[in-house]
Amino acid sequence: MSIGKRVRKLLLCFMVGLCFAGCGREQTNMVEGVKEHVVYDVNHVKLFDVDENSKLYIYDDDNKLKILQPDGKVEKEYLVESAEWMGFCAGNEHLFMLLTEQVDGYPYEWLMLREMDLSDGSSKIVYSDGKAYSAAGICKLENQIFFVTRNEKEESEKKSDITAQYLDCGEQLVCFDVETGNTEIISLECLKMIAKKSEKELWIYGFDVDIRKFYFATFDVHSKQLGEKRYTDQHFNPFLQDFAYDEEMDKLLMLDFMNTQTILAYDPTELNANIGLYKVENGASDAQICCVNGYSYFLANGCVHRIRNNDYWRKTQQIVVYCGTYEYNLPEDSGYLLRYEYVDEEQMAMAVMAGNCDYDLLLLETESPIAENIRKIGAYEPLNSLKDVENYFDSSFDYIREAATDSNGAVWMLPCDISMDVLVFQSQLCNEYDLFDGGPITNQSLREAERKLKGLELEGKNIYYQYNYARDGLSRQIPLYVEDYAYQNGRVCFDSVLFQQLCENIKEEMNDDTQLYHNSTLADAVKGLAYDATEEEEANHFRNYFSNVAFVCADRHTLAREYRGRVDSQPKSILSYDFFDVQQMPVLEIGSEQAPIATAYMLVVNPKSSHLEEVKAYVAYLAERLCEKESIYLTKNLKGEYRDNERKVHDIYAKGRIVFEYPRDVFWEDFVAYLNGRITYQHMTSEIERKLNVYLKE
Amino acid sequence: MREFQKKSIWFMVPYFFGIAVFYIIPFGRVLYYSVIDNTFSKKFVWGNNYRVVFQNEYFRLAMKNSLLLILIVVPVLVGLAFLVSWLLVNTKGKMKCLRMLFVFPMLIPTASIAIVWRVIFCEIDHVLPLWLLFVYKNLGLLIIIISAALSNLDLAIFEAAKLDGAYGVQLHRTMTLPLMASTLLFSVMLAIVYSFKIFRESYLFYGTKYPPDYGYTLQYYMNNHFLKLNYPYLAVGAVITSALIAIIVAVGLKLQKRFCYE
Repeated sequence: MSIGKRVRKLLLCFMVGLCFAGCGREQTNMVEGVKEHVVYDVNHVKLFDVDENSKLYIYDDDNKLKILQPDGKVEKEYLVESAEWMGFCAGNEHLFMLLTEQVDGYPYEWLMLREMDLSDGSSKIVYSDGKAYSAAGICKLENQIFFVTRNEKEESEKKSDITAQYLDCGEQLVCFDVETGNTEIISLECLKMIAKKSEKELWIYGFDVDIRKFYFATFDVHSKQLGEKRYTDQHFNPFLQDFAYDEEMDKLLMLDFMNTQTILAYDPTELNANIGLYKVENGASDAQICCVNGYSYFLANGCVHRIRNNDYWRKTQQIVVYCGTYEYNLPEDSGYLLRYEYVDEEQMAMAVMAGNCDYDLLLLETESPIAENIRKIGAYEPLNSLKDVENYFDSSFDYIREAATDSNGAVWMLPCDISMDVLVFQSQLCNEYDLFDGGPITNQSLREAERKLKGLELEGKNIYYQYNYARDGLSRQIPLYVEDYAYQNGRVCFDSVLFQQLCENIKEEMNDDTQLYHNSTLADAVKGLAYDATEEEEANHFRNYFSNVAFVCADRHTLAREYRGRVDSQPKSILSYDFFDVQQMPVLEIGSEQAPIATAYMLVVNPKSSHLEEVKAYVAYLAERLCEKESIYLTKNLKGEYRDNERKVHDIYAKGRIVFEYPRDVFWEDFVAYLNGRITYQHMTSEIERKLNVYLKE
Repeated sequence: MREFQKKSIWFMVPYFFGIAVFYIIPFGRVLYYSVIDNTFSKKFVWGNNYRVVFQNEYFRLAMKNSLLLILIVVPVLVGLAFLVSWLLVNTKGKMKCLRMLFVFPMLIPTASIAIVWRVIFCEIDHVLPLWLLFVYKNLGLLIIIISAALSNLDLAIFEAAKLDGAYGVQLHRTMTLPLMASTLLFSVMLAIVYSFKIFRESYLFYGTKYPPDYGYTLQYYMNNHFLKLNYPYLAVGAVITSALIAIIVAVGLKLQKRFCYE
């Protein structure tokens, strides 16, 4: 064989080898920039632990215990007895498992601590507790195993505090000495959970019954002394299921399993701010989290994932966000240290006018009366220099740029999201009962549809709806009038035929109360879905909801299934289902080109921020994210493939506009008084006109 | 003595420091804000804000309503307090429980009073209920001050006046009023200051930031501009209010000097 052939053969072998190596799923190393993320190739994992040498211990659905090296290679594998495992920890060739087992002669299971020798696979029970029914965390420090047991307790002995969201489950901290085999119950009142801090210290998460707050504190296992209590604030979710400590970052880490599905890092000295490190894209399987040598380990889709924490942490100063809205949340996994302060209108006004660096960002809705005033007084840092913001405006609806730009061309805010109501129809039902004629929906046709359904009710057929002309008219029709008709040519005018007609129609429908208004909104229906629902179950769920609901009103959050504080495990837009049809909400006058009003959730940068460049970098990062992902609710020209309904929603959103509304207290109280019959129409209009005059002219 | 005075100046330092930090410097800032366009660009517009504010119809309305309160209700309040105090002092302890009754409104939370007021006066579309609320809320305090002053009057002076032939109205005009002048002026000033603080009662009574025209006072004007983030106009309103109070105090002090017996 010639040298050339040999070389070619060698090259071929090398390439085949490379192909095989690529096909093997021992581990996936997804490198995004410098961000390290590894997925271990073991499925159906129930529990895991990581030892100080970064060896991964996995307990799976098949009752197999596997030991994996840091590179993902399986080192050992054991078949263990089937039992209800509560947790385990590993180290020094031994494994300590907390599990419940049946004990002869007792009708209920006992909590056991079983020690397994990994050199030969043998195991023995080293501790058992007949009173404990469950456990909440286990960790190994030097030669001691610490774990929290949950014990049966008389109701009268429990120190639960429902208002403070503390539930006393009879938690006790138990210490098992590996060398002597002795156990000791450590008295720590209202303990909830533990995590390893170092070989000599534990982190304790507990509740202080005197102050009525949850806290984190260190606990010296030798002196049995509790360190300074660091109390959590009202924004902290007290229903913690697991947490860990990263020594390199000096941060407490937890996986927000129930809500945002994000790994959050908290500075132990300042628990009111957090860093969203990593968002588990396809849904975390459990809240379990481990931190070893600067890496976080967590479960998603039944596999163990590993990330290097420092890669996801931007190490910036704290960005203080004053929020005037609860409807929208900034992306949780930015890597920036964010602190949210929820403030009311007056607090926000005070902060803005103080002109100091107390806050870095304002997050508010365009409905907020303060929003436009911020632009008027110039209380913003222009964002024109940020290329990502410019790109975002180029890609999004034109009215977004218009709203964000002042008369001098300065970009004074970043609209992060917009929401607008659309009507969603159950096409089959609407056709069956001939509710709409196929043309554009008007207020009149909606009222007639409601009446038809009421007529059907008399015939014994209950078809519900979730848009009520009267109730929803209050919040949707009145702002349309106020925006486009109330103030014209320097004159406030509410005593018009159009407004009178609108008010009378609303009042008439208000008095005609019906049982057909569906109690459960579409948003409720979406939220009612099980976390682990399959696609088929989801489809059935919506089909059931719409089996007797003819039409509903839905905003962007409902349609996209993106809520503050909740992310669906399968975030599939409800527009993916074909038994819906969508239309724009009716405008005030038939045939008019009145554009629907969209609510924008906007960010304003404080020009006096003490670390302005970092804050602007954060805004640029958000704009980049918004640009990256095409959205039917924001993007001007869609390139992807979309369903008909999604296209329709996109067209409706494209027609929208962002307006800065007058404060609702200018007209709301009198309008409600009129609807309740406390004042006449004339009285109401004169009062509203007077108040709006004061607001506009004072 | 001079040594003592020198030393005592040091004891005044905290006082001057407090005055400077809590009054003079903040007021200086308010003056500054009143002559700039906004707190961010800080462009000097000098008297333009004052011109705009004075030309504003709602500022003028607020000013008129505030002055009406001072010119009509404050004298009524002080007169009523004087009358009640005189009765209380001269009934020699028979009406002690009544004194407690007048103090009561000071102890009741304003919100509770406002609710009762709304129930009683809901049909009356006039400023009178608000004025009445102001009198009801502040009468007790003035009665305490005036009756204390009345109790401390030296009866021997009155006896001497009677011997000189002064009786009835003449006695009170020539003796009681001059002797009480400083207390009455103090009460008037206190009432005026309280009239500028009627906003809380008014807000709770009308339940809105946009009360009827007759109830729209300077505080509404300032508060609404606060929510509009319009600090310069708010500052102008504050400066004008302060100037108004300063003028009233100055006039009061002049009057005090003129009518008081040393």
